[in-house]
Amino acid sequence: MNDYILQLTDITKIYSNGVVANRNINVDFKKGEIHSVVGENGAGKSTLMKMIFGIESPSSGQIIHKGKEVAFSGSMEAILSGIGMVHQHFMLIDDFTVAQNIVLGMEPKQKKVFLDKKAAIKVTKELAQKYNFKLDVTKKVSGLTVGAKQKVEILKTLYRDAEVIILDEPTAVLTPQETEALFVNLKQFKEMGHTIIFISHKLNEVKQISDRITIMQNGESRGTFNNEDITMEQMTELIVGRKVSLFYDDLKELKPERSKAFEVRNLDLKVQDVPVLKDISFAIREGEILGIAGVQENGQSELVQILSGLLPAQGGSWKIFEEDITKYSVDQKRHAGLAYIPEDRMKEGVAKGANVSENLISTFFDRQDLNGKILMNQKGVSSLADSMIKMFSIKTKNAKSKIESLSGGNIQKVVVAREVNTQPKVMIAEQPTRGIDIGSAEFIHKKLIEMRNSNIAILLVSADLNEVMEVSDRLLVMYEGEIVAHIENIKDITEKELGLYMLGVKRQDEESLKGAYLC
Amino acid sequence: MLANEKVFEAVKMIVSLALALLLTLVVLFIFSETPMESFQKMLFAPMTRVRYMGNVIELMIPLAFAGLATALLFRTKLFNLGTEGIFYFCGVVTAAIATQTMSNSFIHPVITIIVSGLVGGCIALIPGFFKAKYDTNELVTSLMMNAILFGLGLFVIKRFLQASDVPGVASNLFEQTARLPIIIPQTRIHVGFIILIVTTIAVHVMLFHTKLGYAIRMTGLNKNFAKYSGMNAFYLFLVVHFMSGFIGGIGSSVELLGMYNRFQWSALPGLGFTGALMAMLGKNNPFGVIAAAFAMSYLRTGADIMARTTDVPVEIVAVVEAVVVLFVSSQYFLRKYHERALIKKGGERVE
Repeated sequence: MNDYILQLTDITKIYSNGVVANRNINVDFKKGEIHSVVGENGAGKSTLMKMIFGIESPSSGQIIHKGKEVAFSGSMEAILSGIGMVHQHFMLIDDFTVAQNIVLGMEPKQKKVFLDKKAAIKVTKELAQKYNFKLDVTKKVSGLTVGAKQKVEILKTLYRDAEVIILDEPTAVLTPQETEALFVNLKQFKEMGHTIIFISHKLNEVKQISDRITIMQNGESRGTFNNEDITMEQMTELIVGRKVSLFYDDLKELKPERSKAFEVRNLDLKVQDVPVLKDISFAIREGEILGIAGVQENGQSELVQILSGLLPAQGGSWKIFEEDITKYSVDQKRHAGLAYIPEDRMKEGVAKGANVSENLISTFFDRQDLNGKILMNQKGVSSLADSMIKMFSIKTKNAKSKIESLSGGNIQKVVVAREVNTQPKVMIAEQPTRGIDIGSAEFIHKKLIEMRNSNIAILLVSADLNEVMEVSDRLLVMYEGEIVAHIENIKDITEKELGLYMLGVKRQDEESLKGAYLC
Repeated sequence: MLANEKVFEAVKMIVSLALALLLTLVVLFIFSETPMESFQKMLFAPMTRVRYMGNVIELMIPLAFAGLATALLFRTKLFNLGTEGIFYFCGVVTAAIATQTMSNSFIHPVITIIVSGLVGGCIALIPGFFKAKYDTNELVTSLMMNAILFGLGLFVIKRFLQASDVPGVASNLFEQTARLPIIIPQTRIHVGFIILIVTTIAVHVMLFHTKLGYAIRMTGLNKNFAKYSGMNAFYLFLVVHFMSGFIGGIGSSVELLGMYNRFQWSALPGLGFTGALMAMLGKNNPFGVIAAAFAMSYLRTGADIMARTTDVPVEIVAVVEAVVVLFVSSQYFLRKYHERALIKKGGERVE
């Protein structure tokens, strides 16, 4: 016997579309350690975890659990062997209580048939106490915060006696305060002998919490290190192979005397009588990036969908320069000069099954230079596509490759390239770099700043604090459908302070908020 | 080689067909006195005579039209099976015009076919409108429409067009000027074949070389994406439905004017449903549909000859059809080999 609870040897995974997600990976996980797996998105972390958890099976190689080779044919087998996973997107039933969610599938029973609700509540309460989670187990999940939902997910794995807990990007949806609370819990689990596998691409968090760190790049392992043996700079280099600049101030040209390019007034939205957006007003000058920060699900995505025409508005108006575009259709809004990088690239951003060039032209395919009298000008389309691929260094075999054969970062570049090519006056960028590699993210940030410098007004909505702080000129914070802070000068504010606004602890007075619409 | 998606799909199709034929052979061994002879008849007889090949082509024309009509709908992710009813009702329309006296044998069929197409298009607009405006399930409305159109068509035939001298459902004889001329002697292959080829090319060009086709394909692949991009789903759904109905209407008219001398369908002809099968086997690609229609007609003709010359009933062909459909539509069939080939190749490095 050795002290390794899980060993992966020579794991290779090739997906049926030909993409190599993992190649010859060797990693060991010790009992009772916090082991981080870091890498850019698309580096193969998630795939590796799915194989450990039995959702995917490796194309070749071995998974050794407690000294024995295993081949899980599904997640149930992994769970029974004491492996639990908390997914990035929660798998909870909203209408069930916390207790019901936790025991789901392994319920305590009365007379072997009926659900014993009392026992369920009792067991889950004890479980929560044992692990120091403050949770009301009789509450419905739908009413919980994101952080609390995550706790439920973690308790679910603990209820199933998980010795190994895999956390896939657990902090992506959390506020700084919630993240810290999570870390306290994780350290406790470690003391109790659990093994934590922590997936992340946020290096400061990884550095803060890990015992050992495995770095992945491009589907391969770049080695496993003890936390004290490696610095953040070394990690960054291993992950991307080069230094990244994180501040874009030098790139920004100063722009005096600019007029309002985009103005939103008194936007309201109620969904089933619950107010989702309350009296949102703001304005953006030409050549300016206005960031909207906030924890997800605080009305940002509804706001963007209304502005872009995907959701009908209930009250309020918005205009591009002097043109009121409130009542325009999506197409008319686009023709009026609005471009939009959507949050979910696979849902709205691209059409899976279509090739790269088809995805590059969807928002302006009726443009004159792409069409003849009756037929489309295929030569025009393909030469435009080729030049866009080159300009945005999109990594693809050619313009005729299927979009889904590209990595997440390159798919996102396709979306950005297309929207930039519409030559807009106003660009809405919603989570433009979510879940993509650092290299692509940096590229996209630079593009946004380039657009800003050529006088385009940009609305940047993001849950990634670093992103909004690095890229924006001004900043708004949204909380429960309202703008609660307007920050004129980003250098004057710390991440901590922003966190307080984001959590609704603080809010500015009406006078300061007026600055949002430049009055 | 199997790593290539297109090669793989082709191999999958061939293997499916081979397996289906093998299974047929097994069945023949059980039920036939002369299994090998029957099998040979089914497989090769259509090739032995010009007349038989003619039968294959004649049979293929309506199947291909129905397939094209349905493929357009499927491309837009509309699961509409209304081609069946449109075939029936447009047949009635065809009968109404073809029984009128007209002097010109060019104008007569042209008018008949175009009017039939237009009627088909307009009928298809009904489920199309409800889908676009109210997001009604088009499968339900189109199946209901089939029943309505059948009843309505039967009423029109019996009330206005029924031949007095023939029992059962039958219109008067079509005027000679309306019939489509035969283009290949010794067969019954008629001008409809040319119309089919032209239609196929037109559909292909429309789908892959025009703005409209681009919008249709994108809407079919991802509706959210199309909406986000500013494409108008309402308009597209109407246009696609109209085009589908139009092709169905032409198909019906061409079939009647080419093959029959009067309207005698006393039940839904079943062509519309077979069209859905053609669309699926042809992967909703116009030329794929043609190929599928040809293969299916070949098999059916072969089975027909076999039934006439041996002791095996014609229904045996249903076994082949069913098995082929089963394998071709399976996403997982032979997947393993495709993946193994990919691994051997080492996969594509995308980054």
